[in-house]
Amino acid sequence: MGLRHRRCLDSCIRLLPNAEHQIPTQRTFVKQQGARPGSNLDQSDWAGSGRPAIPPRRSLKVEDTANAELRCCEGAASVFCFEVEVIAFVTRRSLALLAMTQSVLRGLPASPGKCVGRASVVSRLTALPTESIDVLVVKTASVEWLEAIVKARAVVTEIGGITSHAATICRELGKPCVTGVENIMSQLTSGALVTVDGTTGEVTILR
Amino acid sequence: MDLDVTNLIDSLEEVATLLSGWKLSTTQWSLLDGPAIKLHDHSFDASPWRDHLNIYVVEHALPWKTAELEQTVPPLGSRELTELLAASRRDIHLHLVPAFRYYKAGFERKIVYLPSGRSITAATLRGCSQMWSYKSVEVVDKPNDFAEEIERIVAERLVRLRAALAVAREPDILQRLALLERGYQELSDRKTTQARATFRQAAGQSWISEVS
Repeated sequence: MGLRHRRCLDSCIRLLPNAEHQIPTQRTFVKQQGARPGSNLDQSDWAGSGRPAIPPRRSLKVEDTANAELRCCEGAASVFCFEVEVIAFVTRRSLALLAMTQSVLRGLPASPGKCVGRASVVSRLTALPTESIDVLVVKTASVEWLEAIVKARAVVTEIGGITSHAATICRELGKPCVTGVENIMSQLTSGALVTVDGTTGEVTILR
Repeated sequence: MDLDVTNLIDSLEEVATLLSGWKLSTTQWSLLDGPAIKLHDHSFDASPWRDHLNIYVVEHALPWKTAELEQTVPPLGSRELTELLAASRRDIHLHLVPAFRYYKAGFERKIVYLPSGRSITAATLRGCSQMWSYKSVEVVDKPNDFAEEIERIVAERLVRLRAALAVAREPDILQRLALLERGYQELSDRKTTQARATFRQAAGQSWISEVS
C-alpha cells in the first residue's frame, strides 16, 4: 500500500464516524443486508445503493461487522482502490452533511419535541403571515402571541427562559420550543429550512 | 400608556362571560396586578403592566388539566381555546395563572360589580403585594426555572413595585413592598440567600406553612 493511499485512507476513516449516525455507511449497509462475518458481498448487494460499483468479478468478504471493514479475498491492490473509492464516497457525503449542519444554534430546551420546517422570522405581531407557520421565530413572545403560537408547529425565541410565555404556552400545547437563542433573529431569514429540537435546545439551520 | 378604565371594564365584562361559560364561579378566579389595582383606585398608574390581563384561577375548576404553574392554555382543538383566541382577536389577552397554591396561602381581593350586573373579584393593592411576595419566594426557590430570566424579572418587578409604593398608605403594605424592593435589589446584586430571607419575610407565615 503506497504512502499516498495510506494517508488518504487514514484521513477518510477519521471522517467516517461523523457520517455513521446520519447516512447509511458500510456498517449500516452490512447490517441492513444481514451479512455475517465470513459472508461474501457481491455486485448485486450494492446494486441501487448509490455507492461506487464493486470491481467486476470480485466479491468482498466481511471480516468484521463491528468495524464494517470490507476486504477482498483476492486482488488486494485493485480492491484497495475500491475501498478508497467507497470511503471517499462516504467522506463526500459526510462533508456535505457537515456543511449542512454547521449552523447549529443553541438555546434552552423549553418544550420537548422535534420539528423540521421553514422559518417565519417575525418581528411584530402585525407582520405575522396569514398562512400556517412551520417554525415561528420571534425575539420574545408574550400572551398576545398566543394565536401565532397556536398556528405554528414549533417556536424559537431569542429572549426568555423555560418559564417564559412562549415556553409555557408551547408545553401546554405540546409543541417544540427553544428559547434564549442568541441572535437568532439576525442569523435566520424567513424561508430558511430549520430543525428545532425542543429536547436538546438545538436549532439547526439546514439551508 | 396607562389603561383606560372604561375599556378595562368592557374587557372584564367579556372575561366574566367567557369564564362563566367555562363554569368558573366568581370565587374561582381573580384579576391581579396593575389592572386590578386600577379597578379599585382609578388614579393608579398601571402603565408598567403590559396589555394583557392576569387572571389567577383555581386550576382544578378549569375544564382541562393543567401541568404548568406559571400559565395555562386550553388544549389544541378545544372550544375553550377557540374562545380564548376569539377574545384575543378583540384585543383581550388573558394570562391564565394556575393559582390554587396562592388561594390557599391567601391574598386580599374584593368583589367588583360590573355595569351588566355581573360580579368579579379583583385583588386589592394589599392582595397584590401578598401575591408578589409569594411569587418572589418562588423565583428564588426555583433557580433552575428562572435562571435565564432573573435580570428581566428584577428590572420589571422593580418598576412595578415603585408604581405600587407611590400609592401605598397602609403600614403593612408599605412594609411588604419595601421588603420586596430590597429583596430584588439583593437579587440584582446576586445576594440570593439574603434575597430569599427578605422575600420570605415579606411573604409571611401563611406562605411558609403553605409550601413547607
